[in-house]
Amino acid sequence: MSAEQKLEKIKALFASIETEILECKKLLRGEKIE
Amino acid sequence: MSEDKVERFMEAVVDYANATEAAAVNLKRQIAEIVGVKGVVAVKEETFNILKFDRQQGARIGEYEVAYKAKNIPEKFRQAWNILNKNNAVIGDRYHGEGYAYAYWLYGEAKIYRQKLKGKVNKIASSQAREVFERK
Repeated sequence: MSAEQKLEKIKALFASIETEILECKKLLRGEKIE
Repeated sequence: MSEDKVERFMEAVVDYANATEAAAVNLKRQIAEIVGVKGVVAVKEETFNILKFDRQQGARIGEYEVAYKAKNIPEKFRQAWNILNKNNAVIGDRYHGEGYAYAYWLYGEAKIYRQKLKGKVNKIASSQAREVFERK
């Protein structure tokens, strides 16, 4: 995997982590998640 | 920083992000369970479907499939393995989500197992299967 591909992978993973954490916050607020 | 060091650094960040993502997925599932929300989504089955599985036949559990680390892209394998590991997926308590064709579990470091879902997973059948499987 090239350095550029690794960087893209890292960006995608961090975006996914952010989404998961946001959904955790929603659940803790009693909101439903998709 | 030399090119080699940059590469090693990025590899370390990818590993960290993979593990953190798996932990975040597991945290969400646990929170959902605690607050009583049903139907929290599992990761998409493509996470596992992109792996190459070999068909096997077990005397008691019937047909199942195994993905070997050595036969797959290490990063893809690690990501799938981490999710199953964080969710404590074992033969008696397999991992699957809504719409999944297969249920997945771990046994050993370098292998991922799966078996076609036939409606609801029977916990008793699963524990009997585990006994047979672990004796092999």
